[in-house]
Amino acid sequence: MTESVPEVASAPDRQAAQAPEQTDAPTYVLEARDVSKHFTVRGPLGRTSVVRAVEDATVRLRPGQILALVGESGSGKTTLARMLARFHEPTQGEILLRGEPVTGSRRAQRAYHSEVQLIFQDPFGALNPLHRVRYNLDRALRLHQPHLTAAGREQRMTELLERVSLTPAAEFAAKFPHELSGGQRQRVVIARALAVEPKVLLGDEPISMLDVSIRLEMLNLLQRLRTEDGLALLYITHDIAGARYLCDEIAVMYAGQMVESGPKEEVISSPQHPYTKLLIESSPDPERGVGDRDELFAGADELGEPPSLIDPPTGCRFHPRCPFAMPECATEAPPRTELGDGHWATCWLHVKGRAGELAETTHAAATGARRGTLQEAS
Amino acid sequence: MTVQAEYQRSSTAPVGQAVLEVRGLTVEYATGSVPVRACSDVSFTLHRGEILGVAGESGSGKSTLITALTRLQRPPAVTTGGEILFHGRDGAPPVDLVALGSKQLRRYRWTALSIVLQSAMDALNPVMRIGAQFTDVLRARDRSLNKRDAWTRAAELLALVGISADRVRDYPHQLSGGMRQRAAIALALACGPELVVMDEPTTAVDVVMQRQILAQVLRLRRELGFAVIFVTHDLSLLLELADRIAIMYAGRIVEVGEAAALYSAPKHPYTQGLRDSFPPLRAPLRTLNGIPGTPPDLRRPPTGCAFHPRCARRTEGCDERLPVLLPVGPEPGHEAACLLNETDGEMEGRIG
Repeated sequence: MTESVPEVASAPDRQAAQAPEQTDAPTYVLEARDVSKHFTVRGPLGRTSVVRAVEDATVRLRPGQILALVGESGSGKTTLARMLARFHEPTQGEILLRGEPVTGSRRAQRAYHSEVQLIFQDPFGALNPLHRVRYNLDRALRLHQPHLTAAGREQRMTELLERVSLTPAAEFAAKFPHELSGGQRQRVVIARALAVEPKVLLGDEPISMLDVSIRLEMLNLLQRLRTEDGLALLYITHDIAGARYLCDEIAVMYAGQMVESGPKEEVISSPQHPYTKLLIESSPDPERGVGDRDELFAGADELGEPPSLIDPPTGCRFHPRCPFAMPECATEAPPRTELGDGHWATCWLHVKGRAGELAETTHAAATGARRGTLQEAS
Repeated sequence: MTVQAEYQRSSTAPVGQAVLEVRGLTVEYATGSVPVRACSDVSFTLHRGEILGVAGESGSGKSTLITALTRLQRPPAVTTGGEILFHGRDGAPPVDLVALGSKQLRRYRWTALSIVLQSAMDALNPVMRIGAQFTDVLRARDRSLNKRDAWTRAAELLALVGISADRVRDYPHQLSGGMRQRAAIALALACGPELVVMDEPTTAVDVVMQRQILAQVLRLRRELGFAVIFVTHDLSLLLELADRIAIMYAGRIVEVGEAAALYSAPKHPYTQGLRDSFPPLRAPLRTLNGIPGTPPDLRRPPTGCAFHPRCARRTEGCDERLPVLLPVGPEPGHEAACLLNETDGEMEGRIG
């Protein structure tokens, strides 16, 4: 069932473009290679069904690189991050840390987590409410930096709290999580992740619950960690503008599959998959907003919803919502098309020479036009 | 009877008239020794069919404002001052919602004013079919409506927000998050209210669903003519959606004006900071610094302008004198509460 299309683009120049990636492989600090995750769920009548949460996803992170993973809820972003954090074992595929497959022993797990840390969306559930900030941070230091003395840990804790702008550090260290605001709590969570001195941070919507002014502060903090420490970051979000501000590359997931990936500006300014296009056109953009509102929202009434992952659509999973869909979209999964500069998309439009249409119209307009033709035909 | 017809039957008041006039609304939380003032002297007018956006950070008092407007607040929150004048479409003299008891208020709930909450899962009864919840609301207002007609109406209302009629027998958990939120909007519209208060209705859904919901709110507003107070922390969304926007900080409205004016020429440094906290989707990127510091602790509010400790443009007097909302800029209805706008000495004649 694995599509053998990726990587083996037929033209020789494309292969040449792939070559450096092959030789550079060990320079990736963290890599998920063709990973899938299937969950078995039990229905009300005892029937079991399989949820295909992630299928054949590949993610590669270089040191100092920030990759944004975007998509709707239920697209598998979080599951992918949890596989990378080793909370879920992939059903298929493998996770490589510095090119080495990760084994499952307890010791290996701890070593893994001293390099890869996950920040959850909800800072309220991530800290032990019975203990002060001091304990929450100290525990991470004890576990992952056993060489530090008590004084050393104390000093490190102060540094960490100052780093995330929780000053005076001593005052914040003495507080309980419930005494902190959401933004302060999330900063403690980030400080705790940093206590481990990881090489990779996996942020699962780490700022979506924070106030706008604090969000920016967090984005700038993550940016600084990347430049100063060479931290690699997988940044999961559905805020495209925020992703653009922070990241280098964007990968788009839909219904458990990666549909497009590439340098951020290219993906945002000229999306090459109809779903990416829908996502970007749906994002608030104040610059566009101050105009004719009715026109702005025209056709956005019914954009559809992601499919069930128990029984996903055949062919391209986006085809039931896609205004450009062709007969092959419903029957066969589209191959991956390399577009240069590491930008690729999986869509039949590229194979059929119709990719130009993506730039010519909007999702809403294309849907309207399609509806018109269907009505005429019937 | 269709939903449109229902609205038209009772809608005689012209668009542009006030539907809600809030004057000096003050809400306090009576906890501890000193009451915490979460809403101070909030005044605004909402016109018929208008979408007023209210934006602010957590703790700015926007949720307190909503619960006070809808009279859903619970102790320790107490409305200690001000009035909320509601102008019915029948042309009757305005009623002050603050003065009404809970029994009298029931006449206004659902039919005059309704609310959509942030989490539809919490707002809908999980053990009742969607249709039954609509039936409850519909029949509470109109006793003569029989059950079958009420279920038919429920299906019609769901169709308004693009949910197919066969879902009327579903339970809330069988709907997706986006559908639940849309069902909650349909429910709020069930009895043809003149004002719908929406408390972050799209925060829990993703961008595509958010856009669908906003498009539907705009379409329904156009078709049915209700006014909306839309509360969110996402200013970038309000700039696309709202007719006018009020910015709240530390319990006060610090700036109010048309969306376009607020975006292109904000007159309060906080509004400007808030606007510049959203990275652009297409414009060239630059480092954004947002607003330094954190919102004030309302138990110990700063003296003078509450924003002065974080304000890059504070001048003499900002920590002493409380600025009031004054007309600013060329656009009518644009007001800001900042001493920077008072330098031309026109403030005396404008107050009171």
